[in-house]
Amino acid sequence: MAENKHYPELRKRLTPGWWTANRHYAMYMVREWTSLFVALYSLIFIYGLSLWATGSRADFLNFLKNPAVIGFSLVALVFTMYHAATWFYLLGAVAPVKIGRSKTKPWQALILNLILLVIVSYLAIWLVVLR
Amino acid sequence: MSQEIATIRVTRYRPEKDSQPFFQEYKVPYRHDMVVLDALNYIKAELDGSLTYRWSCRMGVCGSCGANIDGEPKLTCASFLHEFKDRTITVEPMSHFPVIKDLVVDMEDFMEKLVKIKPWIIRKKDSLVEEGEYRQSSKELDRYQQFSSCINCMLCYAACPIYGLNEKFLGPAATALAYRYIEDSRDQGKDIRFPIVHEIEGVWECTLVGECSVVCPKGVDPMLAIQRTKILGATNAIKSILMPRGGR
Amino acid sequence: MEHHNHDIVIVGGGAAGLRAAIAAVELQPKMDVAVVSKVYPMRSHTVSAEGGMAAVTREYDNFDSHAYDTIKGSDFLADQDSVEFFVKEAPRESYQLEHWGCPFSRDPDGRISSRAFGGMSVKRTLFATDKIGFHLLHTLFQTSLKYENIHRYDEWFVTSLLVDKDRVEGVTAIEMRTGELVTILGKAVIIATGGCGRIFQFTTNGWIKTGDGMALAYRAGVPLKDMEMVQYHPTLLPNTGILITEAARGEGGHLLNKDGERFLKRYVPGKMELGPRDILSRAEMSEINAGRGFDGPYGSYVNLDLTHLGEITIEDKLPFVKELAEKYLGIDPAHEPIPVRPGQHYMMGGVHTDMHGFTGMPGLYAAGEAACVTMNGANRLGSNSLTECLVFGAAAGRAAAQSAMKEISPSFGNPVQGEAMMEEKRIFDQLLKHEQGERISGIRTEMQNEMEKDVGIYRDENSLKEACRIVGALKTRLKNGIVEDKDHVYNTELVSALELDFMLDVAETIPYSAVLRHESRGAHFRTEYTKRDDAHFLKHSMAYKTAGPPRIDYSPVMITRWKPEERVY
Repeated sequence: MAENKHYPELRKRLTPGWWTANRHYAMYMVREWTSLFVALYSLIFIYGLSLWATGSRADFLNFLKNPAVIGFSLVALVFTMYHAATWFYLLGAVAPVKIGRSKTKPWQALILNLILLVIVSYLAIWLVVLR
Repeated sequence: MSQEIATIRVTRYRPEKDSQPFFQEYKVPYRHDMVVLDALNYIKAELDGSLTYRWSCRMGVCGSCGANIDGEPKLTCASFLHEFKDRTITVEPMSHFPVIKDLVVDMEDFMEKLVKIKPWIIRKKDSLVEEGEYRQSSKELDRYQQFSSCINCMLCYAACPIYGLNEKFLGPAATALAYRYIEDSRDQGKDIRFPIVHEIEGVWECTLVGECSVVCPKGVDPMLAIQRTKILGATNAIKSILMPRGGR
Repeated sequence: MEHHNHDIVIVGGGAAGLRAAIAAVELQPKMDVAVVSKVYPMRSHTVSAEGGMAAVTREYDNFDSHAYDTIKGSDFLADQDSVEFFVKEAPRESYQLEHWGCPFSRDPDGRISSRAFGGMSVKRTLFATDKIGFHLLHTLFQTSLKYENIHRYDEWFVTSLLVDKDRVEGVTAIEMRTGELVTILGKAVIIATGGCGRIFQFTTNGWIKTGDGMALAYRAGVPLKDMEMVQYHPTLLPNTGILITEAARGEGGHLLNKDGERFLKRYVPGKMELGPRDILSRAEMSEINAGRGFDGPYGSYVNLDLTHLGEITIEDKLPFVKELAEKYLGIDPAHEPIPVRPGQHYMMGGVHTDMHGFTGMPGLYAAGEAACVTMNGANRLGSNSLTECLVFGAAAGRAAAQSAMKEISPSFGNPVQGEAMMEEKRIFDQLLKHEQGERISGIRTEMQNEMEKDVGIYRDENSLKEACRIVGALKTRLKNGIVEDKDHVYNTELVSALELDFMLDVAETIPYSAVLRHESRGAHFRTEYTKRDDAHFLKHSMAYKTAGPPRIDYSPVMITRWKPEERVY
């Protein structure tokens, strides 16, 4: 009988396209990609700030007016919002708050966090610009 | 009235015959109250005795019968044929596990991880059984009860791409069980378990795909357990930096 | 042939087997224990137990009350010394389980909660919502991982006991991963394989409950005791046989007939829904036979009504009932009654043992549902069985360890080697090589239908004789059964054929024991002998294997303090 002992098990490795297999994986992967845009935006912003620091406000403004930069900023904004929204939703799913006998739903966390985001952003803008 | 028919496409892999897996289609009589497991049992009893899969309790608690059904990890005993969008249903072995035969996967890896997290009550000093039970309030029970409901069905591992990419990852169920003991008021083994779950392939591998909690048939929410374990670990680390001596 | 050697070989990894393993290594830490199970231990059918486990833990309760309830429940067929031992050990085992981490439900003072259960005169059933079996099994299994000397053989199917001069020296088992037959030798073997519910068509039992251990012992010459005592549980879902726990009634659920009437007032007015299972199952059948049941696609049924308990009680105390009703019937039990009918649930009978799990055959022990101690007699009370697994699992583990300490390891020579080679031949050269014959699944279905039809809640001479005849004929037919799957690796069809072979042996003992018991006692109800007959039948049936049909003998019932009396509730 001993010769029967070792038959190979079937092992499948994940292919590079594994994340297309279902909607949740795809949403996760897109969320991971958004970090790339956020990182790029940060680099651009740091470059802009360096122009500002060396005394050339006009150069900075001109740089920001560049259609490519505007376009990129818009794309980065969408991705950042996507990241924020999916993250807030997950936060709700991961750490639901128990109120009485029922637990909060993920979408409630999403809405609450979005409202908080708007308030905090407004406060930041007010502190830096409007004041 | 003619009998309605459902088509079940099942992965076949017989290591003594096949070098590659293939799909085999079976026609089974359809009933509205039929689960995928019933269809498999019909096939095995009436059409093809060699079809191989695990099952036992058929009531969603023994954890034997997980499979990927139309691509999603599910218990075959708890998936009704009518839940799927057409009458052709694909049943494959759970992803990310080596396949022994047909739908039977090798779960030794999980069994090793389970031992690794020391899934038993650790006490500095055991009380005598004669003294009765350890008192525990419902509130204390509530802190870990949901995580103690894991039936070890492995659906969460089948759903986790992190595990698919790196099988060393401790993974959802094992972490949920570790957290279940960490949060149990009767347990005093935090210091032993923390280093295990915070290892390099431990909880920090998790990047919140979240699919483990979506597929869990018992509402265990392993993703929550993983994130809470991260928080506990981080606060512990901060405490030990701020209060190096006795800061627990 | 590969062989392994241990001090103790435990067949079965459910509550009794795991408890025995832990007891053995706790008694003697050097004890080398093997747990051989055809499934990963956490799949064992203990997992499906729902309601709770009985033990005296409260000031208002006492051992005598638990013992009397159990003995009365058994219709006085229980051995009272075993029952007394059981009730005294029960609290200790419960607290031990709690210390190991079982997530019991709690009272406001932090103690383990207890609930009412059928046939118990006070609240003494400890519970973990309605999933005690699941939690108990996982607690035991996870705790067992702590002991390095407990060696597991997961997914190894035991096919025979190896016997040398009337002494059991180990087992042969198929390693399912490779399909290889291997011998596992031990100084003692403990059978803890559970019951054989899959002999019947309509059962709460999982697929794996095929009476393997009962058949192993029976074939080795140990009698099967009280096999006619088959428990039919009153509340199964009509299509699937999924169990709806007795705790649903313990928490206040009502059984209603078609007229919306709590019909139990005609049968057990003193206990109503908390009557014992044998009486409740018969009451349901009486209602159905009188035309007061509901008609459904899967036969007639009655209703289990929980709607008056309210959503909160159902969610807190009976979440699994809710889950099962929602999932399998699309019913919210807080708003709609659950259709139920009686079906096979548990075997009171099993491998004959004494209080310490010893079968009388040197080296062989048994515990849990596979064994018949006997503490359940003719009818088991709900929530006694999990405690039984712990109490007698631990007792068997300790007894086996004590005997193993005195014995020397068996060696792999003759006759054991010869027996193992014969077994290899039987399985691989005969059973697996058959090319012509009938599918085993057909034989299995016929057995299940026959047992359902003729060895059910109501029995008579003709039906039982018919069952004896048909099961005998099926045994002959199985000799020509074919296994289509010829592979070695993970051959579940081959295992099913071997299981069916076990089941037919065990099934045969039931009608043969039942036909000779000319009385009605507990779960055994003869339509032509409707009264209990202590003068002639206050004794245990003992079925012995012979070359032909089983030989039925009798042994006395141990009465200590409770004289048989009329059983009214």
